[in-house]
Amino acid sequence: MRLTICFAVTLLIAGCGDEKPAEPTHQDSQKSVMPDATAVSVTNGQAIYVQSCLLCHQHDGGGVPDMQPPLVDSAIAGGDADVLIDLVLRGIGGKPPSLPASGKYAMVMPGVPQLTDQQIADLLTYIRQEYVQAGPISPVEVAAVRAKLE
Amino acid sequence: MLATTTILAATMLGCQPAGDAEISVPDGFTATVIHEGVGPARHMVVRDNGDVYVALRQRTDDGGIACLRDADKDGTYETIEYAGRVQGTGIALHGNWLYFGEDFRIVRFELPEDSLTPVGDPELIVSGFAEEGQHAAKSIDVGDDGRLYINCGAPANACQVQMRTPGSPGMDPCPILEYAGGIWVYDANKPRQQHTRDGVRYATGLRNCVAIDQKGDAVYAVMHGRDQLDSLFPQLFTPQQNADLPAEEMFRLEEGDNGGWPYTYYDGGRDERMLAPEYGGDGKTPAEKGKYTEPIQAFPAHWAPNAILMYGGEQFPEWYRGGAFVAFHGSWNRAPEPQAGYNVTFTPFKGGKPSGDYEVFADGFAGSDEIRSPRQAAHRPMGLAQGPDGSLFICDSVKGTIWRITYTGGDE
Ligand code: HEC
Repeated sequence: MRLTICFAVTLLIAGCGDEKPAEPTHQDSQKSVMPDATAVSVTNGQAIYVQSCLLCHQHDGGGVPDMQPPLVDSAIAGGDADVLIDLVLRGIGGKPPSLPASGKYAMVMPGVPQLTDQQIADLLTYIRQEYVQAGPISPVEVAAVRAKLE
Repeated sequence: MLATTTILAATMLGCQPAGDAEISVPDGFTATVIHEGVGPARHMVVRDNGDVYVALRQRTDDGGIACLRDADKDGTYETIEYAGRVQGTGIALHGNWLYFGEDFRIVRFELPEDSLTPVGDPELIVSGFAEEGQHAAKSIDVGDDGRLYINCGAPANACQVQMRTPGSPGMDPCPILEYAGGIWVYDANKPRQQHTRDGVRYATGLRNCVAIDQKGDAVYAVMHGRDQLDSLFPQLFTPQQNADLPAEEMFRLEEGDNGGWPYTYYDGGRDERMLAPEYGGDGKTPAEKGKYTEPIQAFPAHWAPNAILMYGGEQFPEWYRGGAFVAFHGSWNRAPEPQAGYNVTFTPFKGGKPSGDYEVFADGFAGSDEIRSPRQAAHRPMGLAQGPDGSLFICDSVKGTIWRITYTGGDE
């Protein structure tokens, strides 16, 4: 049900001429050509997104003006994996080890260190595929960043 | 028939929707757009001579206060100028001074009798606010008593040990309440005051009251209730319950009052103050009776009350006089339910208390029936002001469109 809503909204956005490419980003259309492991990761990652991130970054990854940035086309979400993992583990704008806020948003982001390496890898693999069309992230990469933080 | 006004509906990402958005107001009222967009607006005030001042969230090259004048009084504001190297939410008039609330300091500008724009450098009135994210917007009001009232929103959702983290308990006592989560009052005429050293904590236990209006011997305020009940306590609250909890509370605050944040929240369905889950609550346990100030009205959850105006004019019919208009910015946190709010309500008052339930007074700002994310809203009501002739002004935060609502229904 939620998938259908996300898809419809994605189409709506794509249909009104925004700069995002109009290619379907809906996972079902890509599942068949994706390696199985990534497909499973994406499905699990989406559930974690709904539980831990959707509230702030919204059902379509578009964010809320002045409060939460969009993940769609985010250079950070699509950029260096270690930087992204670090950000999601530590959060932004809270007490240390949280990263400092950019000052552009009237909100802070909680880190999610309580999630397992596998959960964070799934979540970020989902976000990168759904919103920035970037490659997957593995639990090994998450574990390495987490080890450096501890 | 509804009186309507056509507005240009810019939607998310700058594309045009199928039809133009219209705002609706009750029979007998007329809504006129006096400016299509002065820039993303926060609060506004109208001077005795009719000049309009709007605080901008982000200042332009010329300034962060939009100043509008209708010199020939034909209802068209032909002059607009920008002034003041400031940006933020709060704006208030007091004598020949224009007060401005930036996120971390309150300043004032001299506003000479016949000048449309403020002159000179800003004079620092209060600084020293904690520079933390969340709820930093300082809404202000210079009260009937000549004192400066400041909303100091709490930089938190529910004062958890681990900010917005599932299951994390609340700090007890909540240390934030020493410097935020309340309304402070300062001398409006004394420069360089320090928060909290030179002020008085007027009322506490208020998460974030962007909507404040001091009238008579009270501050009328509407509070942004906490969020994330379901995502922080999934074993206690469902997403559906989170969409409807807690109520946004309207208070009539006297000095020393306590709105109960972060220890409690208000359940509008049960009509009862409840113990917050961070402090041992489970969604079923009421808060200790008599300990906290009761709301005088409960609004639906997450609507985000961003301005309140106690109507002191005579232009509107008797029903409206002394009542409260509230501008709701609209929710962002009701998923998976559609977002809600994006309207201006009216609550009739008698003897300092609501005499009936609220009614939606102006609607249609969002320009679409179903809003799933605030980005889809063409307009989001943000500021309210009353003109010298009793007209109601509304401004929005998306483009800074300004509407003037007049009563044209003739004699009652
Ligand atoms: C309580 C709200 C909130 C929640 C929940 C939240 N975020 Fe954020 N997120 C923010 C805010 C605010 C920022 C921007 C902070 C800043 O730059 O100061 C942000 C920034 C980001 C960024 C950087 C985006 C950019 O381009 O600047 C990423 C990536 C991100 N969040 C991912 C996530 C993920 C993944 C989750 C779920 C685990 C999540 N966020 C949950 C509020 C939130």
